[in-house]
Amino acid sequence: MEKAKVKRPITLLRHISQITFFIFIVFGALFGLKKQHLSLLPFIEAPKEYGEYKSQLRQEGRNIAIVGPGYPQAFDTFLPIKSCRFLRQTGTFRACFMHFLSECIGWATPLRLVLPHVLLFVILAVPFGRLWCGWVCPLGFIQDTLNTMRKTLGLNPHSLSDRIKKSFRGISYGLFVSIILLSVISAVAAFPWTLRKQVYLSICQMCPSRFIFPYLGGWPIVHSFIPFGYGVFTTLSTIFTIFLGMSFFIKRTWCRICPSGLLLSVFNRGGLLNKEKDILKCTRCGICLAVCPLQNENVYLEKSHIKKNRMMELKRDRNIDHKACIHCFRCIDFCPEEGCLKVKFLHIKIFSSRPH
Amino acid sequence: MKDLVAGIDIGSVATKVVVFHQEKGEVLSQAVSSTGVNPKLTAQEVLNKALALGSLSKEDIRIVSTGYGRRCIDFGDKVVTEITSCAKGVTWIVKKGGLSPVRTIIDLGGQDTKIISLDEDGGIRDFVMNDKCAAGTGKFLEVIGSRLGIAVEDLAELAERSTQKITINSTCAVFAETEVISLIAQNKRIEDIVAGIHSSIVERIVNMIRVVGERDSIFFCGGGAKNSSIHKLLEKRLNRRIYLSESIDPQFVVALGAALN
Amino acid sequence: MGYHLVRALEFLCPVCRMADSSKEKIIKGIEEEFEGRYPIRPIAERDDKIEEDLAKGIQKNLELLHRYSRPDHLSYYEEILTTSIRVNELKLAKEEERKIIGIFCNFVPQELLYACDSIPVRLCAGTYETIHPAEEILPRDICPLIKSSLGAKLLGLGYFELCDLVIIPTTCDGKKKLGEILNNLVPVWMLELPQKKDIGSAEGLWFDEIKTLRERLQQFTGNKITGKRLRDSIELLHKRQEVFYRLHRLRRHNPPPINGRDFLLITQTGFYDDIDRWIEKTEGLCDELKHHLQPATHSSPRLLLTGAPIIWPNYKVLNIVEEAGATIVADELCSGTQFLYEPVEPDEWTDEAMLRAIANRYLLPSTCPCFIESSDRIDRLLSLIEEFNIDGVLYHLLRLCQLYDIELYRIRQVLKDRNIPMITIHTDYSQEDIEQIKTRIEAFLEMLSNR
Repeated sequence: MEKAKVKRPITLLRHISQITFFIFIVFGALFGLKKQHLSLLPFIEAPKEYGEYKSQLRQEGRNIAIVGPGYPQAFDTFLPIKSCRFLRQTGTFRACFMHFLSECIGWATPLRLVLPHVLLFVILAVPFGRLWCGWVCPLGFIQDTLNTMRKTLGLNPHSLSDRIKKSFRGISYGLFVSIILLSVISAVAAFPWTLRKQVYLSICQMCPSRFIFPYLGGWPIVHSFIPFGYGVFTTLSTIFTIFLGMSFFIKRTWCRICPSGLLLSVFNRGGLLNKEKDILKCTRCGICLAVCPLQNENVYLEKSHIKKNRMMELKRDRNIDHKACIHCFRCIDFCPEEGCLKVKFLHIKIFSSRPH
Repeated sequence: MKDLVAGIDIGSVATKVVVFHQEKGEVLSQAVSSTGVNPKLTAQEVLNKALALGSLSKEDIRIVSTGYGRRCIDFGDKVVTEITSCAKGVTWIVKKGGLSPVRTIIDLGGQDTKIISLDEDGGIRDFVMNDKCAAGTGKFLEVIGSRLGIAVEDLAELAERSTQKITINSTCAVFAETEVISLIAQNKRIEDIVAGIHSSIVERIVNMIRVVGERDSIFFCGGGAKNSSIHKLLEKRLNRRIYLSESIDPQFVVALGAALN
Repeated sequence: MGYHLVRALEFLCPVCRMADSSKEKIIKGIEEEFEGRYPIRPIAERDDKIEEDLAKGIQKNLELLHRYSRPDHLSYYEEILTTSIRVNELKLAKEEERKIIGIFCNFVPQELLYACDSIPVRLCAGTYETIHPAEEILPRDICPLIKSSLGAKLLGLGYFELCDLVIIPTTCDGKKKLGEILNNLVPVWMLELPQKKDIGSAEGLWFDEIKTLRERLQQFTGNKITGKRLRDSIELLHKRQEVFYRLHRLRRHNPPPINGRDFLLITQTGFYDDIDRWIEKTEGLCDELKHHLQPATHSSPRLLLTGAPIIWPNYKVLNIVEEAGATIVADELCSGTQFLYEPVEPDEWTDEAMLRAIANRYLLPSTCPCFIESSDRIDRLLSLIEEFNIDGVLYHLLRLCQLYDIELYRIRQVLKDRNIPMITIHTDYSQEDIEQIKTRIEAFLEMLSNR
């Protein structure tokens, strides 16, 4: 008897990784795993003088869990993923890199404290790029789970047209730029305090994780629509959460506009982890494109005549990395042509597609 | 291994025999006869004729057959195709004549035209043959000749007296025949029509050469090489010198090649 | 008010919106293809002599094949192709009110046909004897495959007579007009195939066409193609593809455990035979072949066959090639490897994803020259040449099949650049040019052996 063959080993592996990391990141504290134990770099303490705003807020009658400069917690970064600092009770990691950046700018933290963290981010991002999104990120896992629910119910998926895909990419750039800008505004003393405190840490204020993770961690926060600034951000975060919820129909909707993902995607092309396609072996069956959660046409079009004429090169192995690719390797797992799609790390082949 | 080899080339029109002494490297005798309807019998007769000419006996020789009827005879020792034989024959002739190495061979036969492309060592690199249709072969000449009532041998001479250019558009022998009839009806000169037929064949050959790629030097053999008009037209069309077999009659080249096995 | 509410909901829900728009298209596409106001009246008569000749030709093929020691399992395939076992089975199935659906080319999704409990039979014919009767209707200068297929229907031979319906994709001109003519004799549906196969517009058009086909098939057979049925049939055909792939890969071995004629025989049995039985037998055959692999030797030249389809019993060229000592170890024929090579791999088992996977499998990887670009075919050839360690390429051309003929120049150039020898055989279904082909092929093999 032949051994029972796992039909999609990479996808299976990825699911295991996702679930493990999800439990680890979201509920790690329940098993005694705290960030402090795993920290590579020291926390950055928020400046003490900002503590006074805390009491100021209390006077205003606000719950301290409202995001704002009244909550001067030590912050740091670890894995380049989208977890949430409101996972205070149960989570292992509390911060994403966007939060870190925003906080650093907001506090005007000295560069010598920031640089090691940035370096850590780069060290983790250069080799793997957006692999973090596909294999580790708990928010990614939630989106995949929503999609699995749809599959189980037998509802048809919805795919996006090119135009909408492109506009999503535009949104992600806009989001990133506005977050940085707002952080700068919150740091500049020349602006009135009412403005500064409202735009402080805007990433966290509009992030869908703010809706999801605190509830998972059993520490729900208040979503306030007053005053006006908070109201705008809470509305935005509601919209983004609904948007993320749409990954029930459209795979990985949030990943398409995620600003953290945008940062990681800088290292996607030209990073150490590459995917290549042997265009001779490719029969253009379209399976790779059909199974891609982010509908990256690159994986398919790398063989098309449009590109061929433009490049006019006879190179057989074509790089198929794409900015939006989350390295889920589904294309490689599904590709029926032996050795057509390959994953390379430092130009050494790790694995390739095989017939099933 | 016997040194004496008889190469029998049983073509669609004529059967050719060359008896060759491999050690001495010389042709001892040769004979030709039209193939007719019984290739086996013809081959036997031509072989006997050649043996008689060289006063040789059948026991001393090996027999290699080639051409269409190569499998018809039951007294052969080896069978090769005419393409391989032709390449071998030409390479030998060129070496003997001290010419520069041939890279392209045009073999214009009765039913088939072959263009053979050789590499530096005389090995076959590529070859093309006309398809099922008779366009660009000796058959084409024969059909038109018989329609005009002129023997094939006299066609070349007639063509060289042409004064006006006529283009025959049809490549198919049957359609070309119809075209010739209409040309006759238009009171065109026979010489011009025949010249037109010749250029039509040459065009066809040139197209085939293009398929394998024309490379120097070019050698012309087969029964068609006896036709001086085609030779001249080819040289003019390809704008370079095309070699002909001098040491042996062009139609024996394939038989000679067979005998070199 | 209610209407506007529904519209608003639909706008919000992409799934509803999609389901609605596709329904509109389906209803539009369901009319008959042909008006049929000017029927033709062929007068071809059935002639017993033709069947005799046919049997003789088949017998000759078998004799040539039986000269070799062959795996035992092959007798099954011969039986299906040469006797009337399968025809009788289909007759029984027909009595049970199952529909027999004839298909042409490689574009009709068999998954859908199996899912509505009908039996697909591929009708592309390779019989010389049926050409003459078809020439009453069709011009002389048209590809023999079309003539042969029409002739078989005119004479009412075997599978042609059993079909309740014929589905023809609009590939080449011949197939297009064949549909119109056949429609006078049996109901014909045309599948409109795009001329480009890009993932933009063409993919969408074809997807709609496949959706329409599903709808029509449900109406025609009276069986609903549910998600479960579709999934079952996809899995069944996937199994067939896996077995086929196993057999295909065995040919990489040197010497190949099976020759080209036997391989095509097996594949083409798949045109007609019961799919479960075919899978089972081929599984058995693969096991047998695996146990009888011989150690590598310096063996006969390994050839790759490409070009116009070669269909049983038209094994003329194959017989010549393999009798002359070469072996065909791989092919790129739509009647051979391309028929079963590609799998359907749906992303997920939802309706939309399954249909899309099916539509993609039949359109995108096709190497048929009826599409505007030939690069995919050339890529496929080059990759086969590498994978199967090919010594030379045999380009089979059917006279008056212009599409393959037009692609010849480019392919010859590509192969020449890579120093891969190729021979072109220009022929048809008749036997008269055997000697000429022999000369060419033998010369080609001599050339290969001297390289």
